[in-house]
Amino acid sequence: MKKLIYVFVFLAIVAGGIYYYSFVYSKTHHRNAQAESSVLISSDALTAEYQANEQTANAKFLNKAVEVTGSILSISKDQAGHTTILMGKPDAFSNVSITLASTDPITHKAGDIITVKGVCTGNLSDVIINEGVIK
Amino acid sequence: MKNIVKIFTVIIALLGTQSLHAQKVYATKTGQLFFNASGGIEKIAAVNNQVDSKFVDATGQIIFGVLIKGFKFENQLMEDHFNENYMESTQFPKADFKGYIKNIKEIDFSKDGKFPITIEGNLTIHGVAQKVNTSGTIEIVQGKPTIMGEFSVKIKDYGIKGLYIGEKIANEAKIKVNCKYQN
Repeated sequence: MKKLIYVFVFLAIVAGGIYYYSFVYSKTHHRNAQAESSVLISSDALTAEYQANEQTANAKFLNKAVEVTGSILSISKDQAGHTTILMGKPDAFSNVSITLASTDPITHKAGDIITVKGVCTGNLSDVIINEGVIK
Repeated sequence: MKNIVKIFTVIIALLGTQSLHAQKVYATKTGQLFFNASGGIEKIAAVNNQVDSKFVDATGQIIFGVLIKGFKFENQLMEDHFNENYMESTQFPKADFKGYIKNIKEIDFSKDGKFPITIEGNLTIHGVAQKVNTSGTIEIVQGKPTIMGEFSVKIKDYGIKGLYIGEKIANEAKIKVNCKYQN
């Protein structure tokens, strides 16, 4: 009988743990790219890698924490209110489009050289960096 | 003779100017796409705020591009499963739509207002392309258009496999688009 109680208690703890991890912990704890070690690269080198070979570039940068340095071309807001930064060269075919994690306004302006750490989610017409934080 | 040459030159110049104004490309890199595949009590929904889209007012040609890893879920575990077990986003990092706004000629871009639109084209998800016909709305405010639309996709039509489709995960995912374009 005692054994049965132990088994039942053990199963209840495991089930409770799975429930807590799946529906409570995972809702309140999101990936924190800022705590991850990152690949350091300039915005020009990052776009050049994607223009040269998207598949190879994805193998290096997709879903990785990336610390990208470059010149601000423009600052804007996305439809959800996050600050967005376009980084690169004015005459380039493709640049780096960064969405910051925060909705707070920033003090930087076009022409400033900054470093932003975020997650690379791939390449559309620009290389996309998400969840960015200015270093 | 010289006068005729002059007249022709002026006509050609005018036609050239007209053709420059005849076509306008509207674009955004920060459109929104909402995804909802809730099949039971648990909400399976995500948003992507980096939709890349362009359309041409003269022809109605339209494209949308979206990165799968850019979808944000409330639940991190759900986001991980969405990427790894269902969308296989390392192998298929993008989804796109390429098509036409069929009734583009009915839209007056110079006037503020809402216009119904019909869109037809190919939607590629998970490396599989399917024809899509849908309707939506285009709203013009001070010359800037916003396209809004909602349609459903059968998950299995795109070769997406995985547990819980048809149970916790709906067979059909609802896709909602809201893109504000710049000109």
